[in-house]
Amino acid sequence: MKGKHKVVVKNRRLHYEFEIKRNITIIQGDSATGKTTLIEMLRQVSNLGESYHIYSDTKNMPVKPSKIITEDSNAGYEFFEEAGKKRGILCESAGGKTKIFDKIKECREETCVVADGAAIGPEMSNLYHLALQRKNIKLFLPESFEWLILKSGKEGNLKRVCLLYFK
Amino acid sequence: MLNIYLGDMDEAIYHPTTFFDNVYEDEWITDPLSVAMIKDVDGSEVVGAHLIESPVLGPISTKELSGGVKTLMLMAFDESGRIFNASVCGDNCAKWILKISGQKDLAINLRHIMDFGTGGFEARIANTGTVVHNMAEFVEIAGEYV
Repeated sequence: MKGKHKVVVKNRRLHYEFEIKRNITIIQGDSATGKTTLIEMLRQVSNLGESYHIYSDTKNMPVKPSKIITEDSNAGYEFFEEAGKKRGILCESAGGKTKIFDKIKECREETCVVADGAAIGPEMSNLYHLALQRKNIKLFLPESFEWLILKSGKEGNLKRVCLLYFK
Repeated sequence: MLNIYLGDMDEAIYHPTTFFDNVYEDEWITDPLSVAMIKDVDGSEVVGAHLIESPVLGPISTKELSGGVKTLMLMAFDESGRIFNASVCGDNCAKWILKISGQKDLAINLRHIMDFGTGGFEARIANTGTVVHNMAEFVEIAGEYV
């Protein structure tokens, strides 16, 4: 699927309207907020089934971490290690997205997790709840490292992009 | 006391809503605890054992109650000894789970990190035997299993 799709489904009593832009949609929320009712209505419409969960709590940018934990151990890690050196920020790799939770659980200093938002998937809920409970944990989840590069226009501007997030 | 089994649990009732639809008793619906839970979680009024007045859907049957409130009623009234998947409950059910577990020993299965709020609570994590007293303690253990 490419781009955004607007979904409107309604009957005499209910009207749902939302935009989706992912192949897989996870619908979460309090009980009795209409999740099941929406699915029941969508069942009557063929070929609809995407959604996009947005974790949209307060943005605390820029952050001032004393430690950065990166998901990967390759280009992303090497970049943030280099960027961190100049600011006295220790950078460590978690060695994979499934290991991030264990890695940051022990962190007591101001710590920022850098991981690909596009790939974090099932680990997100646990990381999100830990970050809610532990104010020293910040999550920086851009679409991907490649996305950061593309957003910067050219590689030379990447550091400028990251300065939006790290002081 | 609340006992929480974290993660996949084969013997738990995975879809309590379906289970409820097939086993509930009329008197469960009109019990004061259910009336309060239905009012709080669904925002609906219990007119009788077979009729609920929803502010959104209008008059509905008991089977159209939310999955969360159906699961809460199973936790409160079912006497089969079964353990229910509480991950079908939204966070707005958490206070009721704590309330029910304050009145009887309650075991639930959680496959996600439920938000029990900012206050203190007591729950035993069956996977480890650990007793947690707040969300910070709960999250650190739950993150290992869900």
